[in-house]
Amino acid sequence: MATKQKKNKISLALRPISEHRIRITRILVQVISFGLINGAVFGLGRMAVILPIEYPTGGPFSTVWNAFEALQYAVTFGMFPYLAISIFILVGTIFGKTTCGWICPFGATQDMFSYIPIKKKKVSRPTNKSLGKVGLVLVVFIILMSVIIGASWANSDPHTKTAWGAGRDMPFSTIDPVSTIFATLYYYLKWGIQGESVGAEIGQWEFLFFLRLAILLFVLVLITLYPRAYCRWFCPTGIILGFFSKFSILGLKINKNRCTSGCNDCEKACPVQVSILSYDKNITDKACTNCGECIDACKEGALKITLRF
Amino acid sequence: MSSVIMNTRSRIYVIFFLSIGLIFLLTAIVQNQIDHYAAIKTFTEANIIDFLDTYTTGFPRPPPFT
Repeated sequence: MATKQKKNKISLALRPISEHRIRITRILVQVISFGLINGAVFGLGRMAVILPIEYPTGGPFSTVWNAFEALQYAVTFGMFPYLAISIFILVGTIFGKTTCGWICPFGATQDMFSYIPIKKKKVSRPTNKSLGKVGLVLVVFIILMSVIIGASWANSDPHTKTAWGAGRDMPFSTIDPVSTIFATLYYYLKWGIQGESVGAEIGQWEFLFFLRLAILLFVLVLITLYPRAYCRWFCPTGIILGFFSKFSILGLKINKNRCTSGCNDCEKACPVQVSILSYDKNITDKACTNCGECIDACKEGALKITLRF
Repeated sequence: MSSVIMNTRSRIYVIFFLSIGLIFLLTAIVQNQIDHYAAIKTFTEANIIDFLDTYTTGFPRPPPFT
């Protein structure tokens, strides 16, 4: 009798863990990934490895290349970005947007901001869909801009891109909030402590720096109010991966036979507002990051992460 | 994890994308594109100062970066 009571007590104590087992696993994976991506701080070497994540390649401790930066870095030098595109296609087709939900450092940052105890807001489904197109326009614009820079570099004699200013190698990274938070602010504060930047004459700051800070502030407010807002509406990496994630091998599956109560808990838990119940079997929404919040929320066990091939 | 059968149309898309991805990857290897990205291995080379300019433009910087 005493043993049974003890067992009940243990299972009661462990219930919060078992109810959020995927979230806990994901947080662990995010922490380990963040450590490895910033491996230079532990003495890991920088590598020419490309990952579809939002993190500045020029970050102080970064060990890997951001695939979208790699794409721009090739195009602005007049090369066709075979390597960057192959990474997007292969990772997107096999894992979908799993890297966004489980590995991306800015995805983890957005999750951290979503834990701030402020009432979260949701947008209507049509607005959510329309805002997703903003990112698509952004991707097309940046690639076009990179092509123009690359063409001008290839045709200039001698080869120079100085006329294009700070964005000559990677145009988007000059205003990217992720680069601002993980690289620009670090260098600004580091050099400021050395007496060069912080407290310098305001005339020495250029418009670009203020623009970067304004965009970062806007994005931070947005991700605090709307979970994963940058991820679903503006992130170029997520937009490109989303195109392939529709057919990804790894993804979510719903078993409608088990889904009987009509509680809608899965859709309420989804941070990117996927209409999970509108799918019959495989959830193929391009916004889904396979984060597993819906699986944790479903008391009937109707949702699973599966191999769908 | 259980396995679910994908419909034929999606399966064709998967095979098509995987093939394109592999062809592009092989092309990148043949063209030695990896060398283009290998410059990031150290932050001490002169071209990396140019690379970091993307992140550090807009505020006063110490001598090697100005």
